[in-house]
Amino acid sequence: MKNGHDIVEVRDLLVTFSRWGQTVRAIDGMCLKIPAGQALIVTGHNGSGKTTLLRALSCLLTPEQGEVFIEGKPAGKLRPADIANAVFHVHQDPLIGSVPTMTVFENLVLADDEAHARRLSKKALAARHRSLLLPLGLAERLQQQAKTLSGGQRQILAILIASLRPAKVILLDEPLAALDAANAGICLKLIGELKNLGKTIVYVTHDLNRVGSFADRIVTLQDGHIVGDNAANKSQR
Amino acid sequence: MNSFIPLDVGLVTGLIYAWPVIAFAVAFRVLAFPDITIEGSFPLGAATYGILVKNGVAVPIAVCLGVAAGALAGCLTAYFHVRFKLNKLLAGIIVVAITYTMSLRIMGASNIGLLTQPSLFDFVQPLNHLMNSRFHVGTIMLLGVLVGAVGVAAAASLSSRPGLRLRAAGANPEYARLLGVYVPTNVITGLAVTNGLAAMGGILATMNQGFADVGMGQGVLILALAAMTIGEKLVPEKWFSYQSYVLLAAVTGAVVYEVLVTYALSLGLAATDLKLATAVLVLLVIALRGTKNGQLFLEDLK
Repeated sequence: MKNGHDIVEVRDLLVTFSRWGQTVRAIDGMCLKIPAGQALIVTGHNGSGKTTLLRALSCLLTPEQGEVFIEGKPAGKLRPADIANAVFHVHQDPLIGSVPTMTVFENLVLADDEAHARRLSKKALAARHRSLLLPLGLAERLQQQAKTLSGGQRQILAILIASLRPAKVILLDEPLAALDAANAGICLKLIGELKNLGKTIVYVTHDLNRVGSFADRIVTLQDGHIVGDNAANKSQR
Repeated sequence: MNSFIPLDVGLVTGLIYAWPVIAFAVAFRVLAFPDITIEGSFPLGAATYGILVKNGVAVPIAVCLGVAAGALAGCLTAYFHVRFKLNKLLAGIIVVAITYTMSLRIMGASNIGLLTQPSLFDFVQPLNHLMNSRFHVGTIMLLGVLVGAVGVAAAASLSSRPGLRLRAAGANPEYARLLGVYVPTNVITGLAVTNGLAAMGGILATMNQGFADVGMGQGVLILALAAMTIGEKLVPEKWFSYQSYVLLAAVTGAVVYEVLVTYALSLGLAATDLKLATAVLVLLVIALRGTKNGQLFLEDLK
């Protein structure tokens, strides 16, 4: 486990959902610290609270109790732009990871804050983004609408977008769940590169064999609680 | 009867009604907001412009304030939606009701005549019937330039980075939030702009017909839906960027729809049956669009 400062901290987090008069405690008093640069794998059965935890970390939901701290600051008090600069969330559903009616180029331009800050021309932007897409086999799709890509290609695009974001924490919610072996391999390579860039990764999965190469730590959830927290090499894989 | 008269009338009214159609299409296709507020912002813009011009205010100022009134209606609908989580259609219905009363209050009557007042069309009057043409050449040119300018400006804006943020906020709000886009502000801005455009349509209609009427917004929504649907059937999507396609389809649909309606009326369709005919036309186009090459619909007829 790396000894960085805690970039994310979850304190006594409680998230409940009410449906048809019944209340479900999706996250039940959870505490978790994630050091900077760590690749944390979150696993557990369906309904154990993995996705809810990621949604709380990316501030897409407001917890009932407790708080998420990002770089020591309470997430509830951060502005949307500050949250976007700290955390990026790649969903399991490839349809959510881009804007379907925009071209691949427009999607990359929108996400690429660094290129925007450098005031690159449209031609330079196209060259930059084509070079990023080339090793992923998507260079020819630059001017195509994202909705015309296959699910696997859209997920590759979503992870590429994550790599362009300034966020230090990347949350990945079963990003390979619907992908074939070839596309999953490309995505895993991109995720490995994210880790090499020093990003903190929180990766939700059922398939521990696929992520063993870059995992530092594995946390297991059950009924909204942490029931296992091990260094990756000591995990029961 | 001269067979070109319906074409002339259809072109003029089509280029006027292209404004609310663009407004509806951009809200619906780009912002994913089925905004029925245009039925209220269209007459609100007309009423505001009409009363100001009637009271001696300069035309450009009256136009700007009319557009601003429409934009305000759009802001209100978006605000109701983002602040109170009100259903998009319900928010629009409430604002249409509000704007009806506002239009009546602003005008102080259900109808005000403006035939003797100045308008933008005065400048192009000498060009109309140029060289014994059967067309209102000047009016069509002015309207064409205005629609073309707004179309080009809208396409360029929607391709810019703020435009991309606006499109993301509409098409995929959860993803937009991850990029740091403040979705409520973008929805409010988007509907303000689209309803400002719808109000401009109302102002141009008022200038063209010489009066403002509280009921002139009735039917604008079904017209916009019909025109957008027809336009999307006619314009090939793969030739254009998405935003250009939406805008071009809106303008094409509005002109084609108005020309068809004018010819239908000139051929004897009763004005009372117009809305039914429009609804049938919309359903026909949707049925043809919704099936593979339109074959299912044609097979059903056999």
